[in-house]
Amino acid sequence: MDEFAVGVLSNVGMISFLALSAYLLLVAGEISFGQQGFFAIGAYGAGIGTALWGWPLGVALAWGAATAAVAAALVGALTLRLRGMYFAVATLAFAEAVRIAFELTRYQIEIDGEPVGPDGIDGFRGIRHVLEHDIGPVQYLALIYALLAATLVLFLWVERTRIGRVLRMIGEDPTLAAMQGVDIARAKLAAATAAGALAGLGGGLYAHLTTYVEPRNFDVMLGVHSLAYGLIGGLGTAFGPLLGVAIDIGLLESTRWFSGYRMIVFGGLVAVLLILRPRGLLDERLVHRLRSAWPFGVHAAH
Amino acid sequence: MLHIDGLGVHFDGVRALDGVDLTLAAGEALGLIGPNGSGKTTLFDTICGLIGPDSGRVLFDGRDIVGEPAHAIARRGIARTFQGVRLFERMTALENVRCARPEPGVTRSEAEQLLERVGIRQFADALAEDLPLAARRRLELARVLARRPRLLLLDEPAGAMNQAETIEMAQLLRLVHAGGCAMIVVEHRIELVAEICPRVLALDCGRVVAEGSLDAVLADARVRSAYLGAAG
Repeated sequence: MDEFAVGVLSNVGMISFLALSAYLLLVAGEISFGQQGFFAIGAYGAGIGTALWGWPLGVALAWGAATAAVAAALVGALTLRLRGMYFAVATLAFAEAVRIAFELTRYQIEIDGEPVGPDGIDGFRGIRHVLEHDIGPVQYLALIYALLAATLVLFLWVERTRIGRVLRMIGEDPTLAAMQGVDIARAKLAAATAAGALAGLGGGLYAHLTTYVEPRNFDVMLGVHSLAYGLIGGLGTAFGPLLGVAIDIGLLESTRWFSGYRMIVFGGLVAVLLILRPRGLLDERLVHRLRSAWPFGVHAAH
Repeated sequence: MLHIDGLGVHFDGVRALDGVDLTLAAGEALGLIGPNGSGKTTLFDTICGLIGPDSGRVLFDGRDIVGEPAHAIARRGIARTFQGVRLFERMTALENVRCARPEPGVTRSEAEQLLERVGIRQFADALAEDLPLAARRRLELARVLARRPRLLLLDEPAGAMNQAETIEMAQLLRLVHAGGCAMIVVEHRIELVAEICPRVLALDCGRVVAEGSLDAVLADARVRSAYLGAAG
């Protein structure tokens, strides 16, 4: 596989975690402009784990996801009682606060004669675990997609269980969901925590692929894109946000056809879809039709 | 089972409920009538925990449930329908019934039996938003029955239905009531109230103005005045 294709596919895979993170909250009825904050926490957390503390990659990725999950739970506990745009604004403010906090953070250790670790606005260089352990680009790509496949299987399973139904209930009509005995606050907090973990895992993978991260990688545009992926690809299934990522990164960003016009085409696509298909390409109705047409009789779990 | 004592709710200076008292025994069916704006839906909202009252108590099984969150009240065994049918529109009819009781959950076969019971088994795999109105009302009923409620609050269960559909709904509700479920029925279709509720309570401007048998309540001058104005 050529290097360019490996790079594009790696990007698609990593950003898919962020897209799934935003999608999870969208399904639960919340619009977050701040998932890039948890992506950043995961990137820095996992990077520190391998580069400064010498942890194995798997442990560091889990650490990055866990710190992002804890941060998401704390932010969620404070903000999920806010309604509509107030929650969206609060998440945006949080992500910007995280970005600025990393601009102010210096935590470096001298390793082999050179300082390694977050260096404020100059970023975090030397996350070289993948290079030092002779993990090739294709191997790393395989790791990303193995984790993504596992995540997707988990999503598809959860969507067919009681938890998945609860998320869709609170996303569609929280009052009606409460009337069915659903503790809305608890369910939303759980969704926010899981979404934070997903973004953190994506961030950890990102840091180890690029070997260098800086705070401005995690600006508001990353958050806007992650939100838009679900809205483009569709909210009827976890494949929706992945379709959104594939369209944006796989098609618009990585081909020459839209060179220089990516943001115009992307923005236009979002606007058109919000008017014509407000729940995205793979919306609930289409997914329902596809399931009905599926010849092997897939039904929700008992 | 349900004892409401001096319940008061006001919105921006308007008293939606003004010292409402109400008692309902286990398994009893009570009709709740009154003109639009008399406070019927507000009373349901308050019992369910969607609105916090300014005064008064709502005792369910002897426990004051005022201040409890809506989901906790629902878990006590109170279920309701809404004046405008409220369903999870992007889910199928079957899924709507299955999500009625998130813990421990409604099995597929149980949900199918409930759809059969309310006569819409054929719509099981249709999206709720695609169902005709009468089927939507029945689906809403199937969903609340799946909760196995001890108290059912029905807000205009025959709203916008034709005569034949109303009769069918009345028969269904009579069966539900015969199963031992207590219910309060808000309904403008007097024939449906007469079919199910031996006792009726009339509200006007947030106050109880009459209580007793349907005939007695309809004959009450205050009720006639409330419905027909000064001319009544």
